[in-house]
Amino acid sequence: MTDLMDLLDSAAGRPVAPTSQTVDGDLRRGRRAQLRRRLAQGSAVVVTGAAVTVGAAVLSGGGTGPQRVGPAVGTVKTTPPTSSAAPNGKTSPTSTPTPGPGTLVPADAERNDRAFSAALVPFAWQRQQSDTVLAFEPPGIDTTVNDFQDKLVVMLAAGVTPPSDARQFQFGGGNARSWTEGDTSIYYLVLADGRTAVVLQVPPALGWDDMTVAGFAKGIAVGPSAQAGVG
Amino acid sequence: MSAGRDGEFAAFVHARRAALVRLATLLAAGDGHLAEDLVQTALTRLYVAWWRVEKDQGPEAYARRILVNTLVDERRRPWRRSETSRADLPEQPSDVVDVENADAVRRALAELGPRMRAAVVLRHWLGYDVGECAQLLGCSEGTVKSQTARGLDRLRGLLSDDLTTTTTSGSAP
Repeated sequence: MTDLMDLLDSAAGRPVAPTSQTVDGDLRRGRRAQLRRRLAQGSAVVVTGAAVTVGAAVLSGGGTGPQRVGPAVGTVKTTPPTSSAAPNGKTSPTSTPTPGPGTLVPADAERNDRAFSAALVPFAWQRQQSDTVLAFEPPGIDTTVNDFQDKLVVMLAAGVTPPSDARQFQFGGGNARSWTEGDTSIYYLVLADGRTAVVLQVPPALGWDDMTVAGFAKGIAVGPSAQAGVG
Repeated sequence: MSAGRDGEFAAFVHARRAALVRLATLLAAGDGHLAEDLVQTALTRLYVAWWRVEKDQGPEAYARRILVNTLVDERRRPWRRSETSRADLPEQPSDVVDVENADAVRRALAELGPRMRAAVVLRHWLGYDVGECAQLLGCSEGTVKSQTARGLDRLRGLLSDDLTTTTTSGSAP
């Protein structure tokens, strides 16, 4: 007699405990899906709202040239490459020859001929980009551009409706919104044209406050080849 | 993204991923790549739905449901069906040596349709009762019974005429 359960148990193979890398990969995929789901949900709400709200913030992937994010109402203090800064990205009163990782420094001009460009970038963070996303990953991390975990991420969004309890702050002459997902901050900012929206994911490792985020966002430009990265 | 969810999810993956891979291996009839795809899909969806799932049916039940549903959805696609044809399927019942070979069982499972295979695996490996199978597969209990019976007949023809079944509830690996 041959028992089916025994046969199936044999055919299922021996159980192999997952490595920490495998578990990390599952976590990364989950987080990425969660972020995309949230953005997609926000998009759906805005698309519905656009039918009755003329001038609502919508994504604009077209246009004749780069559109720069409007200036912050406040003044953000950026750090030149040779000045000092704390590791969390905030300026420091003491002087050292090298900025700390994550400190905003001027970007290499040749890297900005893309769908997204940035005038200021976090020092020592690795830049990654495609037509749908501009990302910066922390030093020592090596993942694909579409893996958003722990990265500074800039994406176009076909509008995102922030949670009702999202904070408001002034940016580019309009209201920006910010909320958190766990320990990660999400910012919703509208370009100076009043139509194009960008969404920023700011990881806690940067330690950026609203003013630092605004300083980074002010230097973001969106080219005509940029595409929405939601879904 | 909360640290609580990340920690709980990681603990679940550490503890139960191997079992999910084994289930997916049977559902995919031994196709290791498809099995891994199924598991990754299930775990990704599980992460997104973690809070709801934890309060509702539990993470493992949810992951199993996604494994089965994803398999059935995948196999509905024409390109997927064309990929699964095998040239070395046994035409006659295998001898005792083949029956003892796990690969022969996987080849026999590949002869079943995905729903029928899922019904057999859920019922006779995980120990689900007919009602649980019907709920997970989204069909009637009568369909589960007929699919399981036909699946067993087919497996007996391919593997061994004296194939026996012991559906012990709660014996899930």
